[in-house]
Amino acid sequence: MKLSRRKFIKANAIAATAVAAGISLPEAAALAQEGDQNIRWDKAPCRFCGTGCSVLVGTKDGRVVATQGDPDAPVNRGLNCIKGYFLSKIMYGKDRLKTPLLRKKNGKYDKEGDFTAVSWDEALDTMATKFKEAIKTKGPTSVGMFGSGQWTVFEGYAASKLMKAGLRTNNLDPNARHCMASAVAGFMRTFGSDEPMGCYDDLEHADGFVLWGSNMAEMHPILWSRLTDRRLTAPHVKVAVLSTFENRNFELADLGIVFKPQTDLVILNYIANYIIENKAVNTDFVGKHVNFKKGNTDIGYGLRPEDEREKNAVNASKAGGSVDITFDEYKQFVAEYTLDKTHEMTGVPKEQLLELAKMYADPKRKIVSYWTMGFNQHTRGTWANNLVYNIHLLTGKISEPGNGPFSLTGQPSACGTAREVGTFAHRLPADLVVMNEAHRDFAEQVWKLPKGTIVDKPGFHAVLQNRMLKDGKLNAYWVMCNNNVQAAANLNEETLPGYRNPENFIVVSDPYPTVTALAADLILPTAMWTEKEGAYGNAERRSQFWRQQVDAPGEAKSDLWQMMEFAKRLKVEDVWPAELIAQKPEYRGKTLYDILYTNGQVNKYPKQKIVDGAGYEYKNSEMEHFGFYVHKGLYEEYRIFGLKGPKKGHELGTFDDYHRSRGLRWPVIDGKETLWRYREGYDPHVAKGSEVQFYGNKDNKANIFALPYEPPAESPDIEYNLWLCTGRVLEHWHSGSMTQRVPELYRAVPNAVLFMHPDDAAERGLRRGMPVKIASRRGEVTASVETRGRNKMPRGMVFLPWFDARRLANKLILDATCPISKETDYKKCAVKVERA
Amino acid sequence: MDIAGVVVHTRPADLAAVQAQLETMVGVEIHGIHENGRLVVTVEEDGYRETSDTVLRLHQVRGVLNASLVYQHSEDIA
Repeated sequence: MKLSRRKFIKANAIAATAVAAGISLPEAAALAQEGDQNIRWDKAPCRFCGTGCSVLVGTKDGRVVATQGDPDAPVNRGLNCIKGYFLSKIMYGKDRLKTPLLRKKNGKYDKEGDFTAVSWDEALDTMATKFKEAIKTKGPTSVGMFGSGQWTVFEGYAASKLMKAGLRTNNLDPNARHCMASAVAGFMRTFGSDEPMGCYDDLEHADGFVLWGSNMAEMHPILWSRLTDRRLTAPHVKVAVLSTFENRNFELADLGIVFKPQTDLVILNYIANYIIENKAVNTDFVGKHVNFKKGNTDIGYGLRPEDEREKNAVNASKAGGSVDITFDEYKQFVAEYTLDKTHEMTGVPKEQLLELAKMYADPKRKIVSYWTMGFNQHTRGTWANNLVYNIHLLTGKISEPGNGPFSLTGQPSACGTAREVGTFAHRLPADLVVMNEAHRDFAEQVWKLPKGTIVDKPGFHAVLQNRMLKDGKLNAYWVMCNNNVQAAANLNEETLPGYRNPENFIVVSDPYPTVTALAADLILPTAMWTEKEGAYGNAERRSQFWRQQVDAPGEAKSDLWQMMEFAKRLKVEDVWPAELIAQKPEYRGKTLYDILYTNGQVNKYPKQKIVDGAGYEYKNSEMEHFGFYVHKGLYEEYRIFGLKGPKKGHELGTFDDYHRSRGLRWPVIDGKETLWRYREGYDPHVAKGSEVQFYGNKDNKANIFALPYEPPAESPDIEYNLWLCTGRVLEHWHSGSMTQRVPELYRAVPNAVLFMHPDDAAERGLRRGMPVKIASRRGEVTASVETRGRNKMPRGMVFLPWFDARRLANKLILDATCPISKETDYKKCAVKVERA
Repeated sequence: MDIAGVVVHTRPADLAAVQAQLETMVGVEIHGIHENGRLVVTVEEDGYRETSDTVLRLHQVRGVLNASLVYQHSEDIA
């Protein structure tokens, strides 16, 4: 019996693995025919990165016991990365929070008190009092929320309504500001519409791949396995990897390029120059589909206005400005980026630069460019995005199978929730913005609000929120589904003083006691992942839904439940001025819950049984509590923005469609998804005979931007003589709040180590494994030195992962941002390293 | 009992070397090989701990470009 059970399970493992590897092993397949009756399997997107792998979640006796790669998922085709393997364990960390905790002294709330278990009523009532007080004394700009690209679509949408419509503040920003804002700004500036034109299918069509500041092998392993497969099965395919140090991608790379920090801007311009000089411009494409513009320069670094670097920057207040130019003017602009100059500035050998430029210039080679944080976390991040688009536009290598620029995302729903739903401080759903009156009018109509409810000025973005907390201008603050005390730059000087400012009341919702939760005044225990129904949108515009599989532990509640219950505690008279209410007298005496969530749309779908194709029944905690199908109502209301809104190309499928499918890529028209946007034959929005239409812009054209190299905000000097780059490792995801609680992953990589060149170490009297102090002008941490391993550092550069809460890398980082996108540069600052 | 199924990627030129290294690892078995550089591998142990450690170690084997998990099952067999 024992043996046959083992044999059977092993046969299952072999059969599934063989299918995923494309190898036929019929014997194993036959043995694996019979299924395990005791486990209920259902699909869900992975909780971690933006790839959006689908996993099968195995539930037994109310507990998730197993996960496996979903063989029917077009994204991962049955594969899973090492973090995905341990998904079933992220919900079962020993220190899950199960009850609200309020800082109290002598039975009363006290900012200097100790965390004390309280009821949900006490927690939410205290919170409501604090938010109302702040609004009464200082107005709606004194309240705010920091949200997440890990929120479900429903949660992000509910938050957007709560803050922008209910509390009438645009001080809502997602942690995606730290990772995707430059991509968003780049897309909007070049194409007038957010998110990639291509999709993962490009991986099997391209003849060449160029990775710009993306450690795909460790951060997007499943996409890397598809890319690896393409490279190994089609020998003509070339892989170029660009980075400021040698990482695991270099093992597969045909062309591995290490450049000096910030000089990616030079390489990008050099390639454009090479394409023009060698007559490789697709003149027909450029003539029909492209405009040329010159962007403002000397735009500063998004630091506090009193910083010398800001005072000296001519265009700090007009960072996004530009003027029209001609192709000849653009040609002249890039002409200075010669091979000699580029080699000199970047430190890259000339033959490598030439080989890279030729890959892009060759009209017969289809190319996909991928990038992640190397471009986005960059004081010229928006420019870097614009500059890579320039190359694809000059050659016309865009919006068709195997050709295109593709921004990869780091969070499971940076696209679906943060971007599409519009949880940024300046955005509304479906690419609408608060600064545009027509957009505000449309949102107010959909939400049944009086005109003028939505404020016309962008709110505080992520970095500004921390500064405003410190300055005492933002006083009631809710952090949900992220760990910003570990993530935000300049912890000692900006973040902590704000959280502990006696004028402020800080609420943190999280499943675990993260460093952010511990810095708060009130902690709310949160249901995570499959403890609630959800939807995520991945990097290729694919929205994927899942059902609630299990109950949350103790009294933990979903973010959605928390926001809606909080809204019940706010009367419209508490938060809106009388003139506004006078426009809608029927709202008098109502709560924000009534106005936002029982408006006839959100509560349109009654309680119902949720059953899958196999007949299994699923619970929905929010539906049970509120008495209607909250998720469906929120989603169907949200969908109106894509179907009827002023920006075309954002159509989504129906709620039920998504529950039935393995996701669909928007725009979804007549139930059909779109694989390549802007190209006739693939995108139904493109007019017949026009070939390509970049319809995000009114004239249907994309913009090529002339933008130069400008230096970083801080560079190494005599005292702080090394570059510091921060980032992730394969085994841990972001701040480690989930993966550090999986014993196996913790044991595999328990501590962040400092990767360093052996000669840099020797010069400082350091040896591998020795503890060292890493110091910047803003703080210091200790870690041990690693001179070998997966990352090979060049001289003058060190790398420190940020997952480790015991050595907070963000103490070291300068809060300099791209002035256009407001995204922090986590990849470059100056440090010194000495023996601890 | 704990069993995992893993697809391992390597350059075709490194196939033999990777195969030889994997065969020395306790609990690791190779069930199929594709000339393009893919191996069907199972990792099998009595305790969940060792299996996951082995799976994590697959990434560190010289010549392994990628190791993707496909299947994982653990249960107590009395």
